[in-house]
Amino acid sequence: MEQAHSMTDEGEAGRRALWIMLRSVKGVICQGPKLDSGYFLHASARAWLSAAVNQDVQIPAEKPRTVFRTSESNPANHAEQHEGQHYSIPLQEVKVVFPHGLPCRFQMQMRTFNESCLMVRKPALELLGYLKNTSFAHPAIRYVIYGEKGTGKTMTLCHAVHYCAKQDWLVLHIPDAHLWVKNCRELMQSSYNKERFDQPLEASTWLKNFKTSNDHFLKEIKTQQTYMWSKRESTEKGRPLGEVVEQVSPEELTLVHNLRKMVVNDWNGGAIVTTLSQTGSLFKPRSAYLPHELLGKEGFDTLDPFIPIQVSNYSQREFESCYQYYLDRKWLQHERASTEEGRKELLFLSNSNPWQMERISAYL
Amino acid sequence: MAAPMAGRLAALGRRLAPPARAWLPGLTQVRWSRYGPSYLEPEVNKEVYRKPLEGMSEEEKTEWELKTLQPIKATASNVTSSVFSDPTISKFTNMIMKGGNKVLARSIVTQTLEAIKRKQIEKYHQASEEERESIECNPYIIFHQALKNCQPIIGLCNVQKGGKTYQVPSPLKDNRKRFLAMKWLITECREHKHHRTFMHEKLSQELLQAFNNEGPVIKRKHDMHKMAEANRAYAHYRWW
Repeated sequence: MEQAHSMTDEGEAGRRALWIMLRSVKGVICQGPKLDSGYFLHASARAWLSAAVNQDVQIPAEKPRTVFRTSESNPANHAEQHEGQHYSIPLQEVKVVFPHGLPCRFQMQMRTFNESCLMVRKPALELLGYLKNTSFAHPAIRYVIYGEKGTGKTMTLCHAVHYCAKQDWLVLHIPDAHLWVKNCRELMQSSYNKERFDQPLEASTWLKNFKTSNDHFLKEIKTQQTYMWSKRESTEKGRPLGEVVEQVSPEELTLVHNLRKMVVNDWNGGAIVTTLSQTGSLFKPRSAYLPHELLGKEGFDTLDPFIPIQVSNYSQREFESCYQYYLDRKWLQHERASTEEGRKELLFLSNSNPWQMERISAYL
Repeated sequence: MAAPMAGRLAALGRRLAPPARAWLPGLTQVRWSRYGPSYLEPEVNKEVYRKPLEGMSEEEKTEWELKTLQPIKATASNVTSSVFSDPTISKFTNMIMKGGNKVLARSIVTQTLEAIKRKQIEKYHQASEEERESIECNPYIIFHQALKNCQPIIGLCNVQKGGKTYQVPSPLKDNRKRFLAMKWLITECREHKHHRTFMHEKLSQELLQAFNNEGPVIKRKHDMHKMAEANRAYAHYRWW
C-alpha cells in the first residue's frame, strides 16, 4: 500500500510536490458489474468459455501427464483436487486479460513454450473462495497477499485477475505501483488541483492497457460530469467512457492519489486485492516480508482491516508438479536433470522456491 | 607461438622431477606444492562412493585401501560434487572472467546457455514434425560440439633458423586446441561485435553459428589451416 505524504511547497514551483513512499503495492481493484447490481452477466461469462477454442486439452491417457496438468481452464471451477496442477490459458485470452501484469520471466516462458500455464496453489484457491462469496451490498473487502521473495505472489494475483475477468468483473489492474513513483521522466502540474503533479507517460500506458482489458465495459459506463481537456476539446456529460480513455492525455489523473482513494474501502460492490513485495520497495531491508514491516505504520493503518493471505514455497507435491512440467516442455535439457540425483539436487539448490527453481532450470 | 625450447626442457625436467630430483642446467623450479609426493588426488564423484566393496576387482580394492591410509589433497574451491558440474564450462567461465569477477563471468555463461536453449526450443515448437528430430535443444551438447568444431587440427610454431623466424606447421596438444577455440570465441565476441549488445547474446549467436559450422570463428580456424598448408615447405624445420 502506498502512503502519499504530500509535502506541498507552494513556494517552489519546480519541486516535485508528491513524494510518495510506496510500500510496494501491486494493486488490483475488481468491481462487480455496476450495470445490474449484484447480478452476474452469465451470458458474457459463457462467451468467454466458448471463445477458448484452441485449448491445450491434455488427453489423460498417459498417467504421468495428469499429475501436473489439468484441463480445467476456468478458474471458477478450480477446487482442491486441482491443487499443484497447471492449467493453461489460451493465448488470445492472455492478450486481453493480461495486457500488463504478468512477470517478465513468465512472459519469456510463454513465448518459449508457446503456451501459458499457471499452477493452481492453495493461497490462490483460498482467495478465489473469498471472491466467490463477496456480497456486493457490503463495502469492498481488502486482501493482502504477502510472502517471501519469489514465492508466487504476483502469479496468485494474476490467477485472481483471470478469475475476475472470467466472471465479467471490471478489473483495474495496476501491475507495479513502484513504476509510477520511481524514475519518472515527465511531470506536469495538475490542472485539477494545483498542488498535485501528473505523470503523463505512465498514466497513458496504464490507460491503454486498461482499455484492452475492459473494452466491453467502457462503452457502457457513462461519464458523470463534463471534463475539460483543453480549451477546444471537452467530453460532454453522459458520453461513454470509451471516448474519455481514447483521449490519452490524463490531465485529470494524479495516479497515486487516486489509487489511495480507491483502496479506502468506502465503496461497495467489489473487492480490493493487493500484493506486497520487497522487490521494488524503497528503504526496506531485503529480509522484510511481513505486512507490518513493509507497510510501515501509516500504510498499515490505512489498509488496516484486511485479510492476509500468505504465499510460501512449493510443497513436495507442487515441486514435483513443476519439475514434471519442465521435463514435459523440454525445459530441463541436461541429461542428468531427469535422473533422481538431478531432481534431489534441484530441490536442494532451489529450496523449493519457485523463483529460484525457474532461474536454475533455465540454464540446465 | 612461444619458442618451444623452454617447453621441451620443462617437460623433460618434469619427468625427472621428484622423487628422482634431477637438476638440469638452466632449469629452476618455480612451481612448488605444499603437498609431498604421497598425497593423492581427491575423488569428488559421488557414484564412486556408492559402489559396494564386494563388487570391486583386486586392483580397485588395493587402491581403495590405499586411500584410507594415505593423505589426500584438498579440493579446489571451484570443484563441486554436483551432478551438473562440467569441467569445460568451468574452464570457459574462467577464461571469460576479468579481474577476478567470477560471479559476473558465471552469470554470463548461464545466461548464454539459457539464451541458446530458448532460441532452440522456440524453433522446436514452431517447426514441423519431421524437422523436430534434427533440432538440438540441449545447450551443453551445442556448446561442446561448437567448441569441437572450432578447434584447429594443426597449428603454427615460431622456429628461428639462420637469423629468420619461420612459421612452421606443427601438431597441437589437446589442451592447446581447446584453449585456442575458447580464446577465439571470446575474442570474436568482445572485439568484432557491437559493444552495446550483451555478451550473452553475442556468445549465444556465435556458439549457434559454430555448431552449424559457419561464422567468423570457423573461418579463423580455416585460415589457420590454410596458413599451415601454405607453409608446408618449412615443416622439416621442426625437430620434435
